[in-house]
Amino acid sequence: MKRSVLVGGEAGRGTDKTAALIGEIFSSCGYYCFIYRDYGSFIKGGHNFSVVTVSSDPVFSHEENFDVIVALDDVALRKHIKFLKPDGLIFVNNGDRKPTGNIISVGADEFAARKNIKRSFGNNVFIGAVLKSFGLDWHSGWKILSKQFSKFDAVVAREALKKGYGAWNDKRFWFKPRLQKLRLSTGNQAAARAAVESGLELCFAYPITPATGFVDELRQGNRVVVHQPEDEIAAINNSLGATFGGAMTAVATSGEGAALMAESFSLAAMSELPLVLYWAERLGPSTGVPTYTSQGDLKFALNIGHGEFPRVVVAPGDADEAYNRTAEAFYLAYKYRLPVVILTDKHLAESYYNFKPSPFLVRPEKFLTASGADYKSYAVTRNGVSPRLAPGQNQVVRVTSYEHDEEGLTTEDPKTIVAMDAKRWKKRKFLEGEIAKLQPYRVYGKGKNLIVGWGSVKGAIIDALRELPDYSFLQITYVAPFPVDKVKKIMRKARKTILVENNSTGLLGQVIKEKTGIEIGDKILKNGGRPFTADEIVKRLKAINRHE
Amino acid sequence: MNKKESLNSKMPITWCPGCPNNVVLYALKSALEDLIASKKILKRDVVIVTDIGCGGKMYDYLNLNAFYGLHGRAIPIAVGVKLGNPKLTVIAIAGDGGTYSEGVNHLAASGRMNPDITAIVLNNGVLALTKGQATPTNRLLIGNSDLNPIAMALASKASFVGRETTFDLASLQSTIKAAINHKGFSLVDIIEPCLSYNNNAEWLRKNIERRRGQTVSVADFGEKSESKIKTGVFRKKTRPTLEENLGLLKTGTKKRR
Repeated sequence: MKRSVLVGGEAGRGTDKTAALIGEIFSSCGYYCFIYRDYGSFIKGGHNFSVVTVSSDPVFSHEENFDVIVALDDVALRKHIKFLKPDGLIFVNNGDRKPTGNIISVGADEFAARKNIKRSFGNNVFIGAVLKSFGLDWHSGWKILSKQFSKFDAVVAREALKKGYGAWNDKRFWFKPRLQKLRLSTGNQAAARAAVESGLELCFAYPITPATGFVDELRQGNRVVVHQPEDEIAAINNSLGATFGGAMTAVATSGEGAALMAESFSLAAMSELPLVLYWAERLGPSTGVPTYTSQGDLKFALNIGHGEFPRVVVAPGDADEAYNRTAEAFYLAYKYRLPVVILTDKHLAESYYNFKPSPFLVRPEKFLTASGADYKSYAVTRNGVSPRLAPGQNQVVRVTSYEHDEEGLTTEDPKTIVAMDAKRWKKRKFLEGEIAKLQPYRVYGKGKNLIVGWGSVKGAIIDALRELPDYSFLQITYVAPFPVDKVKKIMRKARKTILVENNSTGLLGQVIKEKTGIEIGDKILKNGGRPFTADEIVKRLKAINRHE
Repeated sequence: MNKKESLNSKMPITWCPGCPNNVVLYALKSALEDLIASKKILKRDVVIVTDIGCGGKMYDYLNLNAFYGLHGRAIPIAVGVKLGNPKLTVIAIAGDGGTYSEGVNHLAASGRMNPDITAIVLNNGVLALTKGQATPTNRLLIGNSDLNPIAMALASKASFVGRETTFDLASLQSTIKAAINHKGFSLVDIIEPCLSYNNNAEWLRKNIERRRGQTVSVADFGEKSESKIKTGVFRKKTRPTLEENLGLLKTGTKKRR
């Protein structure tokens, strides 16, 4: 059983918060939830909405039709009423619309005015009404809500919840929950949690949607020092400097910020300083549509930085993966002394998923060496990784953007240049061996036909598979280094292959073509800033099959 | 072996014969030697961060921990090194192209944020290694459009602002030393000729105006280029540093392994 609750209202009205609270309450009662957030570039005004999907089975995407519409304002009602399911309910604010049939006034604004409290406070009235319609006890809602308010405000908030609970008297949406309590997390939050647990000390970031949520989460709990420098260029150079100084660091941005960081990404490669770049894509080109999602930066991430050098690009597909892959990013960057991109997008970064952290497969650390007598900053070793020392010891430590010899001194000698280039590339083989153990790709389902995708499209594809018994899903997680042989093998075995990507031209398809020589003819692509729903994938897949 | 030699690397100097950068290199080394000898700093804690170009070659000439950075980015890298380990003595060395053109925003930001680093700027009015193109401080720029870095640093709230030339070694040494000793962001603008592309040595020599014990303010710089090159330490004020404001000094960076 699956139900959908839309919460809509103007920016500043608490739409996102209200939806998150509803999701948390349902999760705490044992329902699986997924929350999609749709908002524009407004601080006040405009129209934002969130869709809370509530399910008896794991769920990773939202739907386009709703059982409940929580219309915090009139725009929400007008905009979404046509997507109400036949037996659906609409909770509206006050009496300016005569309650008719399935439109129920909860009087939240009146309540707020009467109590002389902020309007968004009245949102708790709506939450109460939603709980009732699902047949949940209001106490289970209060358990979550009570944590949000000071003692003083709690009295009114509780009253609001109870008012909403009494405003409606039919638990038509009730279905049986799972018994176990579940937690919710955005991709940003899960990645930030992993970063903290990996030992991150300093994060440098200039504010940018949708990466800011990652940075804000790091600030919570005060375990990581976050610095906002003058621009993205400063951020990445700060990070490299601080890593050289001996700290574990990260930078966070989206595609536009990454563009500014390109030169220093290459500096990380040449200086062989570990770099972890948390990169949450949004819709480009240029400013594009900054609060909407896209998978349009894949090839940019694979190619960012001038010159040739090994790198890692890892693309998690949900919150659980954002957690584990982030730890792997720190581990690989610091162990192999190279730049690593954690590539997410707005949909993954800001949607709420059920989240249950599983133990890291690796143990991230700074991989700093103890001081040795004849230390060389760029010693050529078996695997190309030179032991890394932080300054402050008796040995001189050098890192450099210029080509250099083993001591880190500048060189233009052709033999040394070739030797040092070979040293850097030597890491690749060892890196590939290590990544092979980290599930660089995953296959879901047993169908003979294969859907291929990466990143946040995973959610809608996994949900679509329920209705597609003939299909399985190949998810590529490590796009660089690319698991060429395994992917080739899986794709060759498939009866039919379909590419699903949230961009205009099928960038992973192009990468697969380059790496394996296999061209995927059938593509289900979507741009426009909105993520796929499972229904959409099923429909478009059926349309492709009809044409053939 | 005397201490002076211990700061020298094995790399040969490849600046043009007679380049005034040698004066800066000498002054920097002797300033550091004094500070090391008087136990104000430890040699092993010194980190040099350079830009590229002629000034960047300092990276190779000093036997010290060093980071050879990117054009315009010596300052943000140096800020990072300091935040990564606040115990270190961090000195950024860059030219006027890197500091006042490509990376000028980092100068403005660092003045304001006050990280405890020292920025030494080799200011000769040209991008020499790319064959002498003008920088923002070039006095031959049309219509007095040259940037005054001292006015800019003062307006950016840099807590230590000094200017010297390569014609006065003693002052150069003492100002570099004072800048390194200063807790907070220090700018030392060093005016020098470029023998290959901007040899204004004769003019400079005649037009230096030493300020002793007098501070200057932004108001002292009008819209026109300076007719006399003011030298000296123009501001030296202490206020909380970026590391302190970020809470890095109390506990060091957390969870250090």
